[in-house]
Amino acid sequence: MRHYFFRRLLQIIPVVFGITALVFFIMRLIPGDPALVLLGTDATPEDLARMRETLGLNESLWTQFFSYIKNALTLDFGNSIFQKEAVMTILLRSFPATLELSVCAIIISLLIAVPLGVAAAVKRNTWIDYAGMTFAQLGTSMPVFWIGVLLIMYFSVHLGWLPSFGRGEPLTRGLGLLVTTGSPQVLLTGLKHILMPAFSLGVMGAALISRMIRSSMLEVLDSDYIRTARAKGTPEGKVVMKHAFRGALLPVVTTVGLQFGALLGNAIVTETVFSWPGIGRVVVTAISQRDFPLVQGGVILIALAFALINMGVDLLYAVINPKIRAGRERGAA
Amino acid sequence: MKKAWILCLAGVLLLAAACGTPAPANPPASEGGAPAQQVLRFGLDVDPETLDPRHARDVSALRVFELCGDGLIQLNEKLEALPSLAESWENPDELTWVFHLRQGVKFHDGSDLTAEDVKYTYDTIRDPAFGAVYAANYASIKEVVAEDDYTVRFDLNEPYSPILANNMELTIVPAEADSIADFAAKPIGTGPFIMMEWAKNEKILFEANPDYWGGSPALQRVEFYTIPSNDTRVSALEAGDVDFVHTPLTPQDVDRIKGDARFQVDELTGLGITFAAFNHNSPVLADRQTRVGLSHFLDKEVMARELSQGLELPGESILVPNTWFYSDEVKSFPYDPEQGKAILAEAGWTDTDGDGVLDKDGQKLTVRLSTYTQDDLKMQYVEYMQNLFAQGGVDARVVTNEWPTFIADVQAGNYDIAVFGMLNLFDPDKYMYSYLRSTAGSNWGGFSSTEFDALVEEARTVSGEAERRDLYVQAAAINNAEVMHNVLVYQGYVAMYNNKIQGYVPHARGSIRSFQNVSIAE
Repeated sequence: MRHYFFRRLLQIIPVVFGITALVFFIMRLIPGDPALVLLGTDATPEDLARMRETLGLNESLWTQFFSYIKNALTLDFGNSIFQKEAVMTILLRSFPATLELSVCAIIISLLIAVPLGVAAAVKRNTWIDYAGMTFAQLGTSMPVFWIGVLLIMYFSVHLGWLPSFGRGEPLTRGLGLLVTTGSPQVLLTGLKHILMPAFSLGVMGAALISRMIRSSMLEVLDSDYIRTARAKGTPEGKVVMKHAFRGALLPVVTTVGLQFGALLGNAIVTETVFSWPGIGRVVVTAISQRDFPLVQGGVILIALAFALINMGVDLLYAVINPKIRAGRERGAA
Repeated sequence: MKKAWILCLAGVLLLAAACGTPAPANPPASEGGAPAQQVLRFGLDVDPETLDPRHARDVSALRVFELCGDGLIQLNEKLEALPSLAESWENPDELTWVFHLRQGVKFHDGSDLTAEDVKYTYDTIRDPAFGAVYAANYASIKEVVAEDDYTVRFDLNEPYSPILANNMELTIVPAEADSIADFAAKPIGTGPFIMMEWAKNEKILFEANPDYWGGSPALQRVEFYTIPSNDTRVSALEAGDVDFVHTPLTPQDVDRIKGDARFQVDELTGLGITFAAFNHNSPVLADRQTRVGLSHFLDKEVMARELSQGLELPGESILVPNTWFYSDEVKSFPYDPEQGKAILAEAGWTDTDGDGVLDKDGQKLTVRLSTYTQDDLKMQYVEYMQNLFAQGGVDARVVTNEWPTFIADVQAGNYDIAVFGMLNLFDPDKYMYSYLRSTAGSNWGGFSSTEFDALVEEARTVSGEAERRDLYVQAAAINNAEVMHNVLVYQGYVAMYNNKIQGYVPHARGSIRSFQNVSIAE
């Protein structure tokens, strides 16, 4: 198992390197000059030339690339052209907010999807099934920004229950205070702020995952070992949750893993609608300004997160399904 | 498995608790605030990039400096120069400006403001090694001399009468700014509010400066919250989460808020214009008559009234209303498609092959209309123009790209008609001198009128506003006649705020300097 773990970890290196090279050259191939965006339209050609020189954009692409890689290996991703701050600092400030949002969105997805999917499968072709799958259809077809705007209109403007924007407080800080001082106030502030963004982000995932759970459960519920369990007189609840659900989990984990990666990307829209101070907004602004170092750093970080999540999913397979574990260990040996 | 369920359950309970608590939905910084508290929460559309006044280039940073900083002068809503850190100034000859500083002014760190601070601010922003983005705007200054503690003299390289509007509002920083750690994130100024905290992409917090030279403000705190979505910013106003929002806004939102008795809506003509830049180097548009003919197709009335829903006004010239340089004598070509067609026919453009598109010497009248995708309204203008041109028999093609690509194309001369705009027209010099003069660095459309050049160059050397205005009026008329930049609309400025806010004076460029006199009613 450990062998497998390290092999998967090593595989991330070429992936991240490939992404780095790709984003480096693509950013420089698309038209647009950061010096021009920075200096504004009334800059003289001499000013522009001087700024390009200062930014190191006069060097050949390869020279720029190799010096970038060299610095990146020491975790120096340069300075943002526009914010005049280290890329690393900007990313480390904004990434936790996006991660927090994505994790909460996945939790909400699962809280909705698991009961819904299981119920729909067990009560196949009843109104529960139809209602559940209608929700799933709606969930996948409603755009995130639209749900977001509706939520704000209803819960902030109309009812005045939830704040219309912002992060409030990091949940980790709230949890820390709850544990150390016993005061739930900060945690509640954080939760109130994250509820709507996480929900609007989580709905689409909930829809996909519940459909996956339903079809996967249906398949398993028809299989021989479930019939055996029932024949042995196992209570129906246990048959469904212990025998069937666990068996149906494998494809679900794949979907959740993929969904989590997609959330990091979808978060950009949610972050804009809910003024969430995450990495999505940072990267989108950076792209529209041609802030090369910041875009590169942001994409590398997102790619790394994506790769690590995928690896986590693969490892989870092994935990859930001993057959896979055995197979891999034989393969690795 | 059991543990997981317990965790899930705990999560649900927590979320339910969060949802059910009927606490006010305010951002945390204002929690615990009694209703009478003098706090103003301001919805900002974009987070500033940096808060060093010498590096800053975005409007959000300007808003910050209006609270925590001061320049030597300040421009009022008519763009007239009023005393600020300088109590008075004189212009003994055309190459010398002398400013007399207010005495007893303190920076937020307690140090005194002296002529050395002023000299330092202007020396660093002009120093190539410092790398300030707008260094070139200060090129007319040869040397800054601190004559004594409270007298600063600016020696110029050449006469430069727009110096007050273009250079003298710069926020003065203390002479030791560059040795203060993190100055760009927490600037120290002399303004009515002290900047306390900047949580990037979230909020910027200010507290009143009780020692302000202009008197202690009535507001105890001002809080900026960055809310990028126009819709959410207005929702936050309606939800009571912020008290003040302003341009950029969506027309529909403005209409809704106008009907809500809780809010005050101020609408002004702003200091921005949106224009169609005609490329005189483009083979089709090199001919003046063709440009004039096309100009007659532009229905600016519909653009302003229908597309912007009244937020913008039909444009006539580059001299914007409500300023000392405005003139209603300079008119643009009126919307008259029949006349447009007649003029194009005179220029040789007729539909010889009956395909509905005008042609000349076997070549179709094809123009590209380009703009950038970040601005919805400009996209609508361009699509509408395409329609108007098509009705006149012109084959117009819309090209839209995001800003960096768009502006790189324009700069390379790779366009026919480009629609973009200019903000903050404090002084016509900035625009006419650097975009429309024959040898200007940003003259990408190949404009060349020696008469125009002579007028804007002369306007730099004469001092009185009346004399300068005369010259700019003539220059603006040439711009219209030659169809260099055809001004489509004057951009509007809208401020919407809680009507408990008292004492706010709207300002066409969006200045919030009057917050120093604002109070919140009970």
